[in-house]
Amino acid sequence: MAYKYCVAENWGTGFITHDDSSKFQISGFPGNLWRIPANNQDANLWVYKVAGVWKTKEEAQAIVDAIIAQAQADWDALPDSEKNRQPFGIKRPTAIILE
Amino acid sequence: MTTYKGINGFAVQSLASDPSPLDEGQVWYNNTSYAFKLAAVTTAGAWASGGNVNTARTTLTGAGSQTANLIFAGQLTNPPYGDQSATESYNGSSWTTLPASYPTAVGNLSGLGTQTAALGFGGYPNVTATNEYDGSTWTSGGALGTGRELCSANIGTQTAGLAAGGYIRGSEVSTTAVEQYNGTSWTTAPSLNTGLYGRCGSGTQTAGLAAGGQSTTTSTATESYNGTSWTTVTARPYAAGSAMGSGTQTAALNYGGNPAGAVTTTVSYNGTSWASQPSMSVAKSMGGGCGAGTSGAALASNGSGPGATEEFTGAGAPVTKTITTS
Repeated sequence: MAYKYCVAENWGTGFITHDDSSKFQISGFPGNLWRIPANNQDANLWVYKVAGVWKTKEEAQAIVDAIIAQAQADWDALPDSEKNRQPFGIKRPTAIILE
Repeated sequence: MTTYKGINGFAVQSLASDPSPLDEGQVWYNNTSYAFKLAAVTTAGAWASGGNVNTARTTLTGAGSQTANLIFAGQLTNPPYGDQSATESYNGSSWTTLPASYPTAVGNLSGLGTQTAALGFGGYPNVTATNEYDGSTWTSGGALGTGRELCSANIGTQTAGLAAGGYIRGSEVSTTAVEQYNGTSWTTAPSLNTGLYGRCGSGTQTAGLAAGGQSTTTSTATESYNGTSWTTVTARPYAAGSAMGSGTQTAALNYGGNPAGAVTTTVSYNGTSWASQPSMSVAKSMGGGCGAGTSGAALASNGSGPGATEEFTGAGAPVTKTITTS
């Protein structure tokens, strides 16, 4: 399936409604990044509703990569006592490859 | 020309906000969003955005239903990942930070009960403390016999609860041990068949369900409890620890969890078999569940994903639809 990407801030209730998610799949990623199916009128209307800013796949991947890289650096800077809480709780973030 | 009033005998109402509760078939004009709307009945389950929590965190726990929920404790989702004690309540629309914080800042704890009769217990590392919430204050309850973290959440009530499985530091054991709470003290209950932590609980102290979990690997194992013994039943379709849950032993919903990273997976259980349900929009793990909710009205609050709260509505429930020309 082909996808499109946008950035929009999730304001909470009403951002994604049952009506929206029953019509098409919305997937969220770090950086307020949202993936929707391409060539879908309902999805396009949703992006308009949430004042989304369109991103190309390359731009979207760059947004995710930057956030993950920062999160990994933050993790690496943690003291061992915090890392040793694993395998529970917080884990070192791993890369996300957008489709 | 045929008009709505001509057919129904009354005009479409013009309202500043969507009505609540909804009546199936109800039509109105929302003069704030400039849209005609319809109260329709869902033919399939769906997730929707809920209110954003005030303190974004993971390894928290919770209690209550979709429209009267409670979350407490956990760790921040961002550095320095500090343990938290904040308690927040949800009214079906927005979260409010309550003046009564959980008595200690702790992560990997478990919770059960309702928004006004909740129980929090265990946590990292090998915490035995139990705390009871009455809607306004937290007070100390009886201590767990064995301190542990990531017991099952959501099984039972504040005065008839169950703590199944979990992880014990030092001995590094994913335990089969189960304890039951009577509102005052914990006593030993029959053990699980499989020792796991992060099992997703639902049901009651005498009709419970523990699904999935983790030890050295993630598990699909599911066990049913009748107050006397645990029976292995149909395995959950996905392996993961620390999924969130809602419902009963024979009508349960499991969502999210942590096989390697958080997932959006949602499945339902009818007491015999599991069925796939629509996925959440944002992957979540180790969040607050919905112990007093149902398989058709559940809540996923925060967790390790970056998103906010999501609400699940099952098939057959009234929801608002915007009328479009498409």
